[in-house]
Amino acid sequence: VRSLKGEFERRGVAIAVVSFAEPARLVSYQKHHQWPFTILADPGRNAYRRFALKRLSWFRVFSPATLKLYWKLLRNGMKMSGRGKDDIYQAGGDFLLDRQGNILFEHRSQDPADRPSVARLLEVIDKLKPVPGAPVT
Amino acid sequence: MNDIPIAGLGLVDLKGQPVELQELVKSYILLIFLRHLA
Repeated sequence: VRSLKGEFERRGVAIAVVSFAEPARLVSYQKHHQWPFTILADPGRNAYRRFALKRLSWFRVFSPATLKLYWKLLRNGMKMSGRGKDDIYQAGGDFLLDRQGNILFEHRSQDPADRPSVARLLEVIDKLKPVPGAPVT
Repeated sequence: MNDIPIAGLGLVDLKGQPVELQELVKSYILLIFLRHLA
């Protein structure tokens, strides 16, 4: 998503990343990763609950697909800095909404490796009708 | 699909200040909910 941020912006799509980590932890995380997105914190997991993002069972968290993903990330130099501190069972998800809060696309991860591809997201966005008068960057 | 009231989600920015999604949406907004921080 980071590398194709412009493709989303061109289509009038803002991107916000939500984490259940405390804002202070996100500050140091963002300092290191420099994500070009709005980063929001939801330490009370109110939004996670509102979007029905549940906790995963251990066999989903440690599925072969997940282990393969982490192996790849570790090989590429990722460090497990938060190991042991975080809730590893919390599911993530991806949602496309309009200004009224209508959900136009929803994907609740079934395991940590389960995320929609950028191509899939852009395909969904391209099928939407243009919003009259909406700011396009 | 269900609609979700996007106001009052309790989200805060990195300074801990409340943020309403409405302020961020252009035509649309893609919300990416993370799992734990790696």
